Formats: sequence, structure tokens, C-alpha cells
Amino acid sequence: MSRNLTVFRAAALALGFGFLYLPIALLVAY
Amino acid sequence: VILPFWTSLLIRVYAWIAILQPTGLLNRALAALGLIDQPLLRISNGFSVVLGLVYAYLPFMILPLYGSLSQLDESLLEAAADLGARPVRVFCEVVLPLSLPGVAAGALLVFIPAIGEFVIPDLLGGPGTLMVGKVLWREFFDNVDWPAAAAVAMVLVALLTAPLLLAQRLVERPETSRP
Repeated sequence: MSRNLTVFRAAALALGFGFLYLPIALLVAY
Repeated sequence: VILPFWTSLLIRVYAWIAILQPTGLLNRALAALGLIDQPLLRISNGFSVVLGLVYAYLPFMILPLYGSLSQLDESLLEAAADLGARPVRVFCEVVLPLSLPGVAAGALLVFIPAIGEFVIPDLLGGPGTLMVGKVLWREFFDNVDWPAAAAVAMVLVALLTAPLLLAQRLVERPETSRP
């Protein structure tokens, strides 16, 4: 139960920050 | 969460154009993975406008929600679990009602600037994606029909006023319903 929650939280954080920082990462890469 | 604000919104929207266009980053990545044959994502449609709006205003929703949720007393969650509530029920009956002020604040913070948004629908949207801000611009500067533009602006003010008045009433409501 707790492990599922940890996985869910990690996935949500990764998706959220990935979404927010994808354009900035692209700008930095260019 | 607020680090993206260090860069101009305009530049970040242009980055989304580079990501979403048919030869862009995401389409090439999906094609390289063998998931698609033809470009899946495109700009100049409703999806790209919604994506751009979500991207631009997500932090305005996250911050009030985080503020509201971080003040939540975790012992309430434990108590609900001890009383036999499943996680979904704990969320629906404990977490959600207690975080409603944050949800309402975030919704207002997002709604007010998003409804008049011009840059995102202009750059990411096509001719078929209409938003009030874009209509205003077109009436003022392309059609030079100022009476129509003024009427659209009044509609925008009315659209903004209604939820603000509702929020004001909810805030000022006397808390007599609580036991």
C-alpha cells in the first residue's frame, strides 16, 4: 500500500516536472 | 514549480511550437520509438491550445493547492483510515472538502488570466480555435470594428465578474451551517 503510494507520488512528480520543464530543456538544448 | 516563470511565456510557447510541430521533438521521438508512422501531434488545433493553457497556468493551480494541502492535518487521514475508510473515500470525504478553499483560489487564479489569453491561442491555435482575447484582437486591429470589439470586451468583463461575485459570496457566507 505504502509502496504503491510512493510509486504514484514519484510518477506524478516526474510527469508534472517533466511537463513543466520540457520546453525549458528544449530551449537549453538549442 | 515557479522556475519556468524565469523565462518569458512567449519564449516557452515558441518552444512548445518546436515540440509539437509535425517535425518536432515529440513526433520524432514517438516515430523513433516505432509508436507512430505519421505525425500524431500538431499545432494549430484545439489540443495544442489547451496544452499551452494548461502548461502556462499549471503553477497557478499547483501553488494554492499545495498551500492548502500542506496545512492538512495528517492525523485526520489516519483517523479516517482507522475507522475503515478506503483511500478513495478518505480523499473524497476528508482531503477534498478540506482543500476546497485552495481549489477555489486556484480556479480563480487560473480562470481570470486564462479567459482573456491571447498569446497562446494566437501562436498555438489555428483559425478555428476561438478565444475571447483573440476575437478582441481581431475586432480591434484586423476588422477595425471598435463597437463590436467594445461589446466583446464587455462580454469578457461579464464573464469575469460572475465567478468573482460567486467567490465573494462564498467567502462572506456566515459559517452558521457548521455544527
